[in-house]
This record gives sequence, structure tokens and C-alpha cells, in this order.
Amino acid sequence: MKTKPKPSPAPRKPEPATPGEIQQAIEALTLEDTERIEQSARNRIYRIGRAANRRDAKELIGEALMRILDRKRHWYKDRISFTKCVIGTIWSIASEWAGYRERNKDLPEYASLESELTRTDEEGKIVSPFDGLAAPALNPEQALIQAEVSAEHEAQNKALVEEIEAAFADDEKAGILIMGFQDGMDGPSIRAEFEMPEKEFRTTMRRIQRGVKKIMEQRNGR
Amino acid sequence: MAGKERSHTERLEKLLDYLGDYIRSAPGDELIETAREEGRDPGEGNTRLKGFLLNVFKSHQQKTLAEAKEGYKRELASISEGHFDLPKTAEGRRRLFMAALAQAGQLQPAFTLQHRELSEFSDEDIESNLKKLAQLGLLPEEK
Repeated sequence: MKTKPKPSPAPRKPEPATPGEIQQAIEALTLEDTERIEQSARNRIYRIGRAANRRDAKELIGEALMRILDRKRHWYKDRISFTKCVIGTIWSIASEWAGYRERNKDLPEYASLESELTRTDEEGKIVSPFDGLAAPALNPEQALIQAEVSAEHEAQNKALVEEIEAAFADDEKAGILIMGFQDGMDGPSIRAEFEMPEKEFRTTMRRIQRGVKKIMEQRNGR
Repeated sequence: MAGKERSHTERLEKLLDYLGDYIRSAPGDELIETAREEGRDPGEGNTRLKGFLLNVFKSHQQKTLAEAKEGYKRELASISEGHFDLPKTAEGRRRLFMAALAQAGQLQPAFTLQHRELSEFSDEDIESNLKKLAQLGLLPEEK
């Protein structure tokens, strides 16, 4: 007589890693892992610019680990590596900081840069970008100041883009990749369009990464 | 490659996002090579970052432990300082205690294991246990 096959047990619900497992994962980080984490954090700090509010890559990494330990972010060790989890958290925190800055452009914590826009009006009165901070809507003057802040931001980024392009003016391959990325193309598409071998693509990427780092560090005064 | 006109901010963001994606997915040896080309020692970087992460981990654990200790102290203080509306007489308290155990029979073995016989309980034992039961919401309504 055939016996009914036993129903397979329900799959176990994945549990986030314990503090002990997180500690073990930190201790097991390889050279590649720590480089990937550090380079990713630096890249995000460059990307969010002044929204970093003087926080550096190390602080971003520390914040990512704190969120994993506080279980605000979960690391399911059977699904992804610890390094991928940390980097995902780094990207998410950087986006959060950028979003916060976008919603709170007038907060004093961003003052050192916006303070350059403080000026004197026709009546000799000092006009600060933070005037009327509590007002629910921008008055025309505040709107003008905010527009100036955005224009200043765009002007700074224009200078950076021009500096990056100038740094690679004599590097045809890097110039092609940079233009392609700026136009929203991805690596494989650019490689296919310009018939760039994989190895050449990778060495060019490293040159771009190095050049961009130098320029962004100079901007951040590091 | 002519696309729509983008602002310089968008162009910079796209470039940095692409570099970010590249870092996420590039083979490990590429990243090591990048570090060396930048004049950094990946081995030293590994030791430094792991040390930093372990320090963050340690601080977090100490904070968690301190919070747990604080919570335990608060709970103890709340039990010992708690003003529960217990019967005024020792006999009344004993009756209430027995009623609580009769209501939650599964608790009795815990008490009898600890104290052998309920009849041996002093009034202090009963009062302290009544406070614990009150904290847990296990006291009968009628006193």
C-alpha cells in the first residue's frame, strides 16, 4: 500500500543575522570587500555633495553598520553577502541625506555654503537665505534666493563637469565613456557602439575613477 | 550619443552613479588595482576599516547592554516602589495569593518548586510575589 507522501515542511522564515554573525562577517571582510565598501561610500559622498553636510565616507559607513545593528536594515545572510548589504545601506542613507537636504535647503546646518548668498538689499538691510524660515510658503524674495542657491549649485557642478572633461581632454577613450555616461548610456552600450574591448574598458574606468576622485577631493578640500 | 539637453548637475550625477554601479559590480582585483593606482595600500585599508567597524560594533553592544541594564533597574524599581492595592492584612494577602494561583494554576509548580510548600511562604514572600503578579496583570479582580 502506497503511503501518502508527507507534506514538506513550510520553508523557514528567514531571520536577520544576529549581532554575533555580524561581528564574524566584519572579521571576515577581505581586501576586496573593504575596498568595495570604502570606494562605494566615497562615491556616494561625492554624489550627494553638500547634502553630506561635512560627513565623510567613514561616517557614512559607520552609520550603515549602526542601522544594520539597530535592525533598521536587515542583513539576511543566506540571501546576500554582508558587503552587498552594507553597500546597499550606504546608497540608501546617502539618498536619504540628499532627500533631506532637498526638503530643507534653508536649514542652518547648510549655512556655510548658502551664507555666501547673504546680501544687502536696496535699503541697506541684510537679506539672509534663512529669513522667514518658518513661513509656510516662499515669498518672492525667498523664492529668488532659493533660485540663486539652485543656480549656484548648477554653476558649481558646471565647473566640476568642465574640470573633469578637461582632465580627460587628451584621453579619447575616457572622453567617450564620460560623455556616454553623462548622456545616460551604460557601459555595455558604449563598449558595443565604440567596439571597445573589455580590458580597455576596465583600465579606462579605473583612470576615470582616479581622475574624478582627485577632482572631487579637491572640491571637498581633502 | 546626442540626447536631450541635460543640466550639468544631471550630467555629474549620471557620471557618479555610473562609477558607483561600476564599483558595486567590478571584479575585486580591479578595486585593489584602483587602490594601488591611487597610492593606497589595500592591506592597510582593510585593517583600518575592519578596526573601525569593530569599534562601531563594540560601542553599539555596550550601548545596548547599558540600555538593557537601565531597563532592568527601572523594572525592579517599579516593582519595589509600585503602589499596589493589596489587602491590608497578612491573612488577606495570603487569600489573594492563593486565589491568584488557583486562577492561573499553571503558575503553581513554579512557586512550589522554588519554595517547596506554599504554606511555608512568609508574608514578605507573598507580598513580593503579589507585586510581581500584579505587574503581570495576573491578580484576580476580587480581593
